[in-house]
Amino acid sequence: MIELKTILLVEDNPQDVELTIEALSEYNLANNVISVSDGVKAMEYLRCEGEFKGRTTGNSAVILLDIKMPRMDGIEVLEQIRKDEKLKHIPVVMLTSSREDPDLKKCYSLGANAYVVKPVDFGEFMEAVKHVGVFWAVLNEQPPKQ
Amino acid sequence: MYKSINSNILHLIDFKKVDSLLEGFNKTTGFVTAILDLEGNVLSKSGWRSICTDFHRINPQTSKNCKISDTILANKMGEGEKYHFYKCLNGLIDVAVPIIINDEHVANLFSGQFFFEKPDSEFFKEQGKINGFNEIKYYDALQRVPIVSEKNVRIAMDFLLNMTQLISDLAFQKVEQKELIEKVGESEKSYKMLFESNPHPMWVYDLETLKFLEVNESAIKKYGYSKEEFLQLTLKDIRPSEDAQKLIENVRQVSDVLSFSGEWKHKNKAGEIFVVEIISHSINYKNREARLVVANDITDRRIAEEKIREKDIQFQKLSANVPDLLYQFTRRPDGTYIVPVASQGIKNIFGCSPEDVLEDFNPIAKVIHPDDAMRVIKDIEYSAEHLSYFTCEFRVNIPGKDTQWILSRSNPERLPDGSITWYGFNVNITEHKLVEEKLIESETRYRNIIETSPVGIFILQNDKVVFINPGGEKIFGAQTPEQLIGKQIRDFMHPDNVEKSTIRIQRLLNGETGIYPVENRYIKLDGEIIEVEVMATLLSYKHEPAIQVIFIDITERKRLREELEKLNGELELKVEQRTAHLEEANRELESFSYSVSHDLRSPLRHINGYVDLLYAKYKDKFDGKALHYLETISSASKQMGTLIDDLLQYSRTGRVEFTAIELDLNVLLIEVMKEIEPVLRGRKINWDIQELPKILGDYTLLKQVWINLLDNAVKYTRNQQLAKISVGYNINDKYFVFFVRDNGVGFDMNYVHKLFGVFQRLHSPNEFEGTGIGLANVQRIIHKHSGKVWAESEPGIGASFYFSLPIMRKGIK
Repeated sequence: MIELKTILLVEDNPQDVELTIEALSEYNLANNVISVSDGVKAMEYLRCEGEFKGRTTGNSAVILLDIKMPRMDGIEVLEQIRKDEKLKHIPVVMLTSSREDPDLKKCYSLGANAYVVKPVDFGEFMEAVKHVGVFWAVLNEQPPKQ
Repeated sequence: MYKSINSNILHLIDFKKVDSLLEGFNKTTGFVTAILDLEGNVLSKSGWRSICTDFHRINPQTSKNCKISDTILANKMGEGEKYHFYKCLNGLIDVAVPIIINDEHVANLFSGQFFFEKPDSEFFKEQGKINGFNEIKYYDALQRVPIVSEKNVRIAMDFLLNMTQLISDLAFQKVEQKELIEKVGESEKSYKMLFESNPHPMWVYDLETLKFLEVNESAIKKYGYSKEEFLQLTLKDIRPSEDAQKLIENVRQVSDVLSFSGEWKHKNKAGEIFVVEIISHSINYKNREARLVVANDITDRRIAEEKIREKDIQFQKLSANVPDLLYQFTRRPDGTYIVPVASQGIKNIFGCSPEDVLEDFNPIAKVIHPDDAMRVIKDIEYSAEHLSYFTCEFRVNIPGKDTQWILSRSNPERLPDGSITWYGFNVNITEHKLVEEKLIESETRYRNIIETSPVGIFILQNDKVVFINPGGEKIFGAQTPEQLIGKQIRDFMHPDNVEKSTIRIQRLLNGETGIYPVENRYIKLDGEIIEVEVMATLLSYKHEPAIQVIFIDITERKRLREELEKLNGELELKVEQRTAHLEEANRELESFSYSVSHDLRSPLRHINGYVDLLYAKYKDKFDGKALHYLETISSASKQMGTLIDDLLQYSRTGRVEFTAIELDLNVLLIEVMKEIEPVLRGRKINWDIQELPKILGDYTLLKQVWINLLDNAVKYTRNQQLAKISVGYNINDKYFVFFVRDNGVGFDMNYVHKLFGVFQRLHSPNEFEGTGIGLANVQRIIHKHSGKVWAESEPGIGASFYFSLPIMRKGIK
């Protein structure tokens, strides 16, 4: 039995959250999705701080990280994750509305594992999210635990 | 001649004989007579009456009467009458007859002191009383005056006249004879003298014996023989023996009265040979046939001639190497010109030989420059008229040679025949002229530059301005140069600069270089201070060292420069600002693009996402119409998504950094085919793809071009049974021209200009979907690559799209 880990979805737009979860539910991954609305909350979750203090779930298998968000944006989150010894190995997939995003380059240089342009076509979107979710949450081997 | 004889004749007549003749005649006939010359002098007289001699001619009053009466009678002689009778003022009868010798009236024969009838006693009584004569003695004298008849007087006079005539004729004959004798003697003497003292040797020789018959002094002297020796010699003896035969032949041949026998060699007593010219004349000398000979020694002449010939040769030799012309030029009395003497240099000067111009001036006249000919002739004629020194410069055109300038100089003199002749020379002064012309030309040019230059130029000599050009005057605001001439530096230089300037001038005078140009400040005449740029050099002015100062008013230039610098500074600032603005605008544009892509796409995505969810989860609950609405919403939102994506890409093409690398288009095309694979599904297409070259370009952008063009070709051929798409290229000059050709629907060429515009479509979305951005994007990319794009089509047949790219230069990797 494959061990299913959580997928951390960092997205401020509730419609996108809903649609993303819908897409992941197609592959029965929806239950594993933890959704937070901005970078600050994402970091609290990852570090088990604030409202997530004492959470029981383990580290996420993959983080789906939107770039444009209030308070702390995706870039900053990625930066902190890669600096954090405990978090730096977690795969991060950047979610973006456009290929034109000037921050994409920066994302790669900061160590993003992939990026997904959120397509207008919901079908395509579902395909993209599914693949990413399955690949990182199910197939990808975690680095060995210390 | 007669005159001289007549004046002498009275002297020649022996009046003593005449006197005694008249005395005898008086005694026998009682006639008194007298001969008086035309001036009234009594030459001879006899038996005058005492009444005349003792009374009338003694008393002053009656003597006066005598004189008057004599004169009146004498004057009657010229009237042609032979006899003239006259009653004298003292009452007696006189008679006079002219004596004519050789038709010349030389004297008069007088008689008289008688009465033709008994005298009037009362008249004489009264006359004696008035004049105080002794009455008895006077009466006695009167009584002794005879009374004769006129006839007897005439006979007596004729006799006396004939006698006188005879005596005169004898005397005249004597005179004539004497003159003749004198003349003959003189002539003989002259001829003798002509012969004897002739400077040329002369002799007479016997034609038969050739013996000398007579020789003159000169011959004696010349030949060294005494006269006696000479007369023993023959002609042969004064000739060299070798000439003897020739002499005899010559003597035989001489037949003319006068003959010039030419030049002969003669020999004197000492045996010395000399050359003589012989002229002879046949004469009869003392009844012998002879010839008179004049021997003219021409040895000296020969030597002189020889010397002249030598001089001539000397002249020729001397002048042969003179390239110039030495000449004697003559203007003959008839006004024609000739050149009797010319050196060989005439060849160089006039292109003819000395012989050509001996008798003809034409060879020279025809080569003198036509514009100068009249002046030359005028100068010659002036010199001829005034006998003034001739000097003239003129041009000569010898065929085949460049025009040359000739200087001619000579001195004229007048010859006895009225000719004028000049001795002088001609020199070729072309070089000199050219240099002179060039010098004048360059002088004029430099003067012109100085006169017209807007640049100021002045010359300083001994610290004072000695020259300034109009440009300089203008800069100083002067009206005339005199306002500045004589000024010193400190008069027109800003006081702050005087010291430095003085030092600089001193350095310049010391030979230092590289001091100038410098900037300085001058003061105009009106006191305005101007900025000038100054250049100074040393030069010689009027043979004295001087400094030439060239200066330009740079006041305006300086002001402009400062303004320009200020403007430049401002401009730089503006550029910076503008750049900043542009960068800002660029950033804004980028962030706008980002916003559009992010913010516009999100709601679209949501619309589309929820429509899909609605359809996926609740499609059973919708009827057909509702489903159609859902589909339309979905497709519209997707179309809008595509539109936004294309637009963003088009805008990105404009902004993107252009990175040219070497591209193998064959490889690129394989990747493009992969990219458009989705549209190829289910299509049957006949591809014809040529091998393509390597070019220099941006990978991403050119890939987009090919994608757009091939995608279009595929799209617009989809209604064809068999779609045909060919890809290839041609070379046109420095460009590759690529093409994509299809057999699709094509387009109307009337709208070809709209083809590459943004949002321009030639087909409706119902027929062929599209955003109208693809070809606009292609054009933008190709332009970025310095190429061109165009299209050709025929509706229903197909379309061809072309684009050109520069051929990659070799060596670029």
